Amino acid sequence: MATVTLNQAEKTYPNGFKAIHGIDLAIEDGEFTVLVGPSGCGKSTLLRMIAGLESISSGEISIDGKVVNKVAPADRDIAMVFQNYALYPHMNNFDNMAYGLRNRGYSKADIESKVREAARILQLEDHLDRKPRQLSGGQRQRVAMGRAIVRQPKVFLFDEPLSNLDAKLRVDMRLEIKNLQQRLGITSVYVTHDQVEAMTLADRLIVMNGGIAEQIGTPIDIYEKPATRFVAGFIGSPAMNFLDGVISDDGKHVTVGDGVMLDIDHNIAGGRAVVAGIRPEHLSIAQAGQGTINATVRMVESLGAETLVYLDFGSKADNVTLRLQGTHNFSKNDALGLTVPADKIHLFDTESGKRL
Amino acid sequence: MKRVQFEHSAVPYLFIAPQILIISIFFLWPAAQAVYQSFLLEDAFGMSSQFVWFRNFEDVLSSASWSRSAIFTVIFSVLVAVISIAISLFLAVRADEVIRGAKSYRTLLMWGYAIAPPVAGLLGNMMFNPLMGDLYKAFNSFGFEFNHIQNANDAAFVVILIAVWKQVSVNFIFFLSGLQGIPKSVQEAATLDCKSAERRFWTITFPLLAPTTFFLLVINLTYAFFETFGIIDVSTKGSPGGATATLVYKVYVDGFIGADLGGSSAQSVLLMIMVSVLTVFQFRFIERKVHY
Amino acid sequence: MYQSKWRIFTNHTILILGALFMIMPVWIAFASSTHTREFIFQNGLQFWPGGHMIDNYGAILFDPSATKGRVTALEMLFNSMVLGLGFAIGKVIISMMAAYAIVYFRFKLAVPLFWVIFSTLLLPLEVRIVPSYEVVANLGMLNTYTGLILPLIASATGTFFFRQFYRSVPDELLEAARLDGAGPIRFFIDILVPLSVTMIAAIFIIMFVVGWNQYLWPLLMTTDDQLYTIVIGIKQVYNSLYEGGQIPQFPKAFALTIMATIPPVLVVVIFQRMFIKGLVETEK
Repeated sequence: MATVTLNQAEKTYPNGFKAIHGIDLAIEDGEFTVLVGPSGCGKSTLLRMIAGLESISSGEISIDGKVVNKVAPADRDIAMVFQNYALYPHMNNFDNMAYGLRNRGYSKADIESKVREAARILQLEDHLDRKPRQLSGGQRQRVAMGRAIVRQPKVFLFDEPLSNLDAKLRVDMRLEIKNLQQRLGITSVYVTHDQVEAMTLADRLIVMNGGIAEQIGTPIDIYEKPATRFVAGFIGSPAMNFLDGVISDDGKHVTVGDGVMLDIDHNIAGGRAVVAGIRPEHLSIAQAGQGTINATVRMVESLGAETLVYLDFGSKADNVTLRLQGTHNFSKNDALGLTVPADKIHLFDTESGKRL
Repeated sequence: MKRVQFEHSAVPYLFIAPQILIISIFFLWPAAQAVYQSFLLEDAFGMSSQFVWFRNFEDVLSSASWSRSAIFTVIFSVLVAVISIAISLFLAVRADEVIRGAKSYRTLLMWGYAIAPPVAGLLGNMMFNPLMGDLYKAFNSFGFEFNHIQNANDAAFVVILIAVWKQVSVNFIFFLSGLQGIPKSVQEAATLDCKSAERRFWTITFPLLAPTTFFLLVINLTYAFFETFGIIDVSTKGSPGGATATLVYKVYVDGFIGADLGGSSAQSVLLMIMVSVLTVFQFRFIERKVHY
Repeated sequence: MYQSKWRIFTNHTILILGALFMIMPVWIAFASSTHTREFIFQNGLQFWPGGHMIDNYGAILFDPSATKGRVTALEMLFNSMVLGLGFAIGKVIISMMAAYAIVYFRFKLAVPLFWVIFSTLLLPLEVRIVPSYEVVANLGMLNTYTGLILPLIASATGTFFFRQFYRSVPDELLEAARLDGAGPIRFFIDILVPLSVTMIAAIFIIMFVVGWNQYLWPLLMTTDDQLYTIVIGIKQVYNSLYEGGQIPQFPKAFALTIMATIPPVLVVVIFQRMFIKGLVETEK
């Protein structure tokens, strides 16, 4: 059981590329933290810095209050689950799980009981004598998790562990990981590019972009109050609609498209150029007219439980996505009026992208 | 290189030490020796030697026998490489198409890899033995007046034939696995697009094999340069009159039999330069192929 | 895929001709090795085997006088085996270790040492035979197995094979092993060596054949015929064929040739899959 603290942790590669720009983070004991972001954002690098597989260029990383910058990976008392499993192909599954224990000088009986226990939890008891290649992808991932839990480490690190699995298995394993983590109560850091995984697993979410933590918060916080335009666009599917606009003189409206005035709930000086963000699920259909976004249907996707409608709006043909519950019948070029409640409009600075 | 490496002071040196030790004693030292000796002139009895700068090189480069050997080596290497590559490619394409007996054909054509060059040379020597050689008799019964003991061209023909025979299986192995590496779907798409098997080969298969072919060209040239020593030494011994002596064979003859150390060393150094160029060329090509 | 009858027919014809081209010289040598020397001398090379196989092969295997020296073919086979195995084992061990240092470690002299190893590819033994001979003579290693094998190992081909292979091993295995508490030596022994088993076998086979077939170096090195390998033995026998005014002992010379060929060919044919995999995947 442990806390993990990052204090201005930075990573600069020998070629001068700065992968991580000073990150501060305090992960609490037993917390499930998810690092999410597009590929190349530095999330894996950060995880590997915590693991000790990448050196730390400046700043500090501590586990349980002890600075581990110079501590070898094996001595940090952490365990890691890799994307491609990284099982030792020539050892059977028992030995794969036991290897780390043997290197740490556990007794034979101790190893036996720990591995058996992990196998029981992960339902791998029947597969211990087999080699990893004789197992399915999901089973292999379980062995990799077994290798992590037998040691009862202070911290679990997961590096996109589910991305090699097919969609259905991914959902099952996601639930299993969450379940296991809650049962064992081990502090965990989980890296993914999949926002559904991120939202569902995380106690706390860290959205990363370009080596910077754009926002740190609970999944719902991040969904409801994205700190930047990047976070707003990255979290939520389908992605948030962004419309260029100007704040009206009285500060009570934002003008988008060809002079459509939408009510807002902010306190901003009039005349300022902004980006207005509206989630597809917050738009609803109304009688076309004043104060509504009047758009024409370009394409419809019916998913059964919900319908996604893609529309063009205004003379600049801005794209707007609309998400409706249930099934609906629209055809191409139908004209629709759309409204949105004032408190569901997010405003971002045009230049910095910061939330206003 | 690896994304993650060990940072350890002593262990890597411990692991690399045996190889470096052996290379230092049996490679760097002799190579340096060769360069040093190439600047020395020994007297006839090997009693004293004198530093003569580039005189050995001048002597070698201006000698008629060296340039003759150099020309022969180039022609010999190019012919051996081209002919054996052509034969193996032809066989590999057919072996790749065959379904029944594919394994047996592969075995029958690849085992030659295991034959030692001097054994190949002896088999050739036997086939062309004037007393009883089947090929010798056959050629002469067709009225070719074949005589490799005295005729330089006939002798060259014999060495080339043996060298090609020995090399076909190596090339065959590479071509066959190159062909099997071409995705089936590509071949099937080509069958739909193009009716003529011949055209299909030249427009689809051969371009896809180009990297393999180029690689084999380099390998074959290296083979013809160095590994044919055994073939020549037991078939023609460079006769008649040095007409079939490659540069490597000449280094051996001048150095060991002729005991001209300076001249032989100068020849070695010249060869080293030639090989270096060939190898660097090969490595540049391999680096490029990574992106292919 | 569809193939016309004609294409199938020509395919088989061409392949059979190709196979005959490869096999015929060896077959004729074998058939001729089973006749008496008088018969061969009078009738030339033979296509069909005769009845003296056991006499001829028995004589050269066990009777030193049949090979014109003090050493029997059996002893030559033994020497060849020592050379082949010693060369293969030495090469595999040394190059595995060197490649491990190069690929898995960051150390100061890595780059210069890599170039030292690389440079051996530039200069095959053939171009530096004279000074190599002198070095081995100075070390007093002429006519020893050590002097025979070590200089042949001083080239980097094996190191490059293993370097390529190690680079294809996923990085995550090393990372997982480090988290499991394995240090550099333990990782090498517990993970990397067992992972390389197929690769080791393939390179071992290739190197055994290369070692067995060595010619120039053993020729210079071994003045004492007790150390003759079978490949060198053949040359000596052929050289003395016409000595002494007797009828040339062709059949026994052929028998020796066949015996020199059988072991490496068997190895290559039996371990065909492994051998081809090693050859094709490593020389790229």
